[in-house]
Amino acid sequence: MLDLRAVEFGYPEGGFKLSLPAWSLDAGARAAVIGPSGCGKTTLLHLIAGILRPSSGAIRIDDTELTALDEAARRSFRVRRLGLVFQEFELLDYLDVLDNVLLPCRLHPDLPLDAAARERGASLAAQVGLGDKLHRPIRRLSQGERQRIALCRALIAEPALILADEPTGNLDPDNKLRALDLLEQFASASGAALVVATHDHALLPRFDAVIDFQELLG
Amino acid sequence: MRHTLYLAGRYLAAHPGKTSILVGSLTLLLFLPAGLQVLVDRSATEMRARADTTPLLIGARGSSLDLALRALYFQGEVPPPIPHAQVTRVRASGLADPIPLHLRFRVGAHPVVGTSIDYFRFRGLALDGGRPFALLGECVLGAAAADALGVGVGGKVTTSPENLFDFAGSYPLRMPVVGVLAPTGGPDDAAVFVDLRTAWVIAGFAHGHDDPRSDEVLEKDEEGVTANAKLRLWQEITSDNAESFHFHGDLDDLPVSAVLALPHDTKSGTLLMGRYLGREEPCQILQPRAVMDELIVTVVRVRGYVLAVALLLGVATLATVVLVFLLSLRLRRREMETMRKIGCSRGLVAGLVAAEAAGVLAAAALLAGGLVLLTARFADSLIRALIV
Repeated sequence: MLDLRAVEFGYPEGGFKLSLPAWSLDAGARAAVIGPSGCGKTTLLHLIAGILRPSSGAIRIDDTELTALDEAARRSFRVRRLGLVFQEFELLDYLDVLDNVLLPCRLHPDLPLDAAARERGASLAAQVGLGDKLHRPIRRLSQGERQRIALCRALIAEPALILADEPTGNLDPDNKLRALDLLEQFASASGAALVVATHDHALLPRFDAVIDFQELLG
Repeated sequence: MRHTLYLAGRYLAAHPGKTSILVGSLTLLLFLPAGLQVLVDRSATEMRARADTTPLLIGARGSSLDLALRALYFQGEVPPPIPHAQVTRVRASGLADPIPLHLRFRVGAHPVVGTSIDYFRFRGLALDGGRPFALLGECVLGAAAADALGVGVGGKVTTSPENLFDFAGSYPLRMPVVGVLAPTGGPDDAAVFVDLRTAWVIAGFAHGHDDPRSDEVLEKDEEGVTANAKLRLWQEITSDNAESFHFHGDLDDLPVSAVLALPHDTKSGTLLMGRYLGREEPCQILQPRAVMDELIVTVVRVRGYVLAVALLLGVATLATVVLVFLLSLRLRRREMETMRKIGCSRGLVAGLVAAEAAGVLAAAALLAGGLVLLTARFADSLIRALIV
């Protein structure tokens, strides 16, 4: 489902360099990418998401050669096929719960905001226990609730691949486990593959595959 | 586009403080020059309209502007008095019809205009109710004055003392209202009209009293009677005491504030003006239109200065608004980055910022437009309060 071949990347300002000879992931698989802070986990997720473009090599998701697409096509692919969960959740505090969940539909025309999308957004929020808070401002939600909203936003397009960057980094132990439960539950239900960047080794037993980022690069 | 506007609207609504400051600043920026332009245009129109219908004005030498403003709008300084003989002089010239104006007194905030019945005809004033003043002590109210004083035909109004302890001067006079004028939209609406002789009564040049009793008479000779302080002065002229009111001295010596001179034709007007050119001449004659044109030139010049200052303030305000926007963008860099990561194009992010700016600008333009309309709606009152 996900296939990376001979991927090379370096920032223009120099310093950090990423070299990835080969890595692949099956559909529906759950993988954790571990490594210390600053080792390049986020960069790898951005390369897979098409936010960054490798200087050489190929990244393929299903039948799409991501590295062959221009930026506009990569954005279209990303908003339709990928779900992104950020460490700080990155919700918009001036929008309410439902508007945050539906945000991707407002940002790209390839993901239309129609009745089906609204219904799906409300349904996702209800599944994470926020069905009665659809129009509540984000600033009035707890950390755990915000995390769940961020997850719903990543799932609004029914993605084939979910990329989560330290999704539990800012959560207390209870919410951390609950968040991972939700991620896994949604991935299983939709058949989506899941790649989670983390430096929390205690979570590793929950994944089908654990990839040490430093070994991967080595 | 719909989503961009929606997100921009939600952002602006969620930050009411910042949005209000930006909208307020831009509203002032837009309103100042436009509102000023409306005020100047309307004031020029208003001033010229009134002045155009007033061919010639005679008054004491001094400020022609004060004389014109007081005689036309009943506002500003009361010009020094001239003798009623100047009214007689105009009539005797055979060149123009005079209308005297006595403008010294007030009823509350409303000017008392002592004049002749000809004034109503000259200004085209129609009665909404009642009749014109006919007897000494009667008054006719302008429409706005009647509203403000809450008095109609059959009611009474009392003149205001010129100062708190007006021992030696005029006594307040209680006057029956015999007529109310239809509204005109001009300064006449706010006035209280009385016959010139009634104005002289208020000024103390005529008074009424009982025949003095013997214990009230201090001195009696062929010129008149001097009474002591026991004699009661009347504060209201009624049918019972009207006969007792009398003027002392020659009526031509009594004061008027100005004389409206209505020449029979252009040549008569020119000839009449020529008669007031002598160096020894105690009065001035002026064409209100010319005086108002001078005032308008001054107002336009002042507007230029105000606009120059407004322009500088505008540049400073605009710079501040831009700075606030740029700082806001820096604070929202992560939000923009998140949108881009999700799949938003740079163009859409820029469009979002532009939509927010356009929203603020549109709100400011709407508010400024509303303020300009309000200014236009109340321009006449504003002009009288601020300029006249």
